[in-house]
Amino acid sequence: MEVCRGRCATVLEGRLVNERPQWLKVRAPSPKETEGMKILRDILARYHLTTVCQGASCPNAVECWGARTATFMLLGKLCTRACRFCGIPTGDPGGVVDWEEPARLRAAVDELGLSYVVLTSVDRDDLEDNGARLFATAIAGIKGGSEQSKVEALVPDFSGDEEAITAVAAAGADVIGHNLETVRRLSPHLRDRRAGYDLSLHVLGQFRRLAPASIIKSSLILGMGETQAEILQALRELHNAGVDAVTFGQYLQPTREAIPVARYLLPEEFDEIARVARRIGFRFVMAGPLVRSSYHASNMFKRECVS
Amino acid sequence: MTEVRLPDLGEINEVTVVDWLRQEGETVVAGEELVEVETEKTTFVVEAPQAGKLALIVKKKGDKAQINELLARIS
Repeated sequence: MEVCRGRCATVLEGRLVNERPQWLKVRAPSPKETEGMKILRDILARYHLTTVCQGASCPNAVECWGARTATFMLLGKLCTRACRFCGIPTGDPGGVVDWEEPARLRAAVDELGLSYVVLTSVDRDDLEDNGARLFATAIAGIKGGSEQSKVEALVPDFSGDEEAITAVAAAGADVIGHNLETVRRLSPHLRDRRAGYDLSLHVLGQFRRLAPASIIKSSLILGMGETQAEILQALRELHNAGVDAVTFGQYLQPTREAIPVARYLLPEEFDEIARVARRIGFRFVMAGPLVRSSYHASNMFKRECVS
Repeated sequence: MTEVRLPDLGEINEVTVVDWLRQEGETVVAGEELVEVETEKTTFVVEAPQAGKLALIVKKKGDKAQINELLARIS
């Protein structure tokens, strides 16, 4: 599959389309949504909290923020890694950890009255524990809160460190996610050199073993040059690692520096991939052009409880 | 006269006007898709806040616009 250069082109029904396909357009917010966004932004600012919605310029921010939900990003705004599809700034946080962050997060969650909280973090290769202790503290803080909120933790690989993984697994998250991001062949080219396809599978397997009560989740970004056969291989390997839930979405170039979109998948292709994933045996599957790893995360969980 | 301003789009500061779906002088209904604007990652469709005639387009195709900036006027 050719990777196009510059402004992306895609072939649809034999026509070359130089713009984003219609299904990737997002409605600008209504006045009510604008109000919800303002409330959320004020609370984030007051408690000095960061969201991945901001750093990754997520197209769903309007919808999620309008409904007063967000994915909180712990451990700062600078990531020590530089994956080529990601918009989060890379840098050296210099070993600094804000230990007050979990308490502020808990206060913000209480104030927002969130029943479902999604947490993620930047990678912190500058820390000996890769940030695992703070992440675990943040999860446990919310689980011990008055709201009895469900927690979904989308975690980094912690460099595969057993102690770090054990600490986070024991913190009581209802869902533990770690994203494989892409297929085996593209992984070394697209992810930071410290990340790895086999490392991610290993980490997912460890969480499966150490957190038997948690739903284990992973996500693939599509449209970066992968083939159908490679997606199938990745799904089988995720299933073998003990993963219960998978999500798939269209890659969108977040910054000029990030790799261009190789291809815009048709909505029907996402449907087909979802069918294949269900056949392989995943308990939950969410696939669509604008699906992100934590998009409508609470819906998936609610459905699980019913079924 | 109703002002059409660029709504708050999350953590986005600036967009580029991609296309006007209605032209100056045309009648629009409330909630009708009026203009497409884009960032590096997303295309947003801004709807008409009120019915009327699209009297003036302030930000033309290719222009940059910031949050809350005037895009057009509906009379």
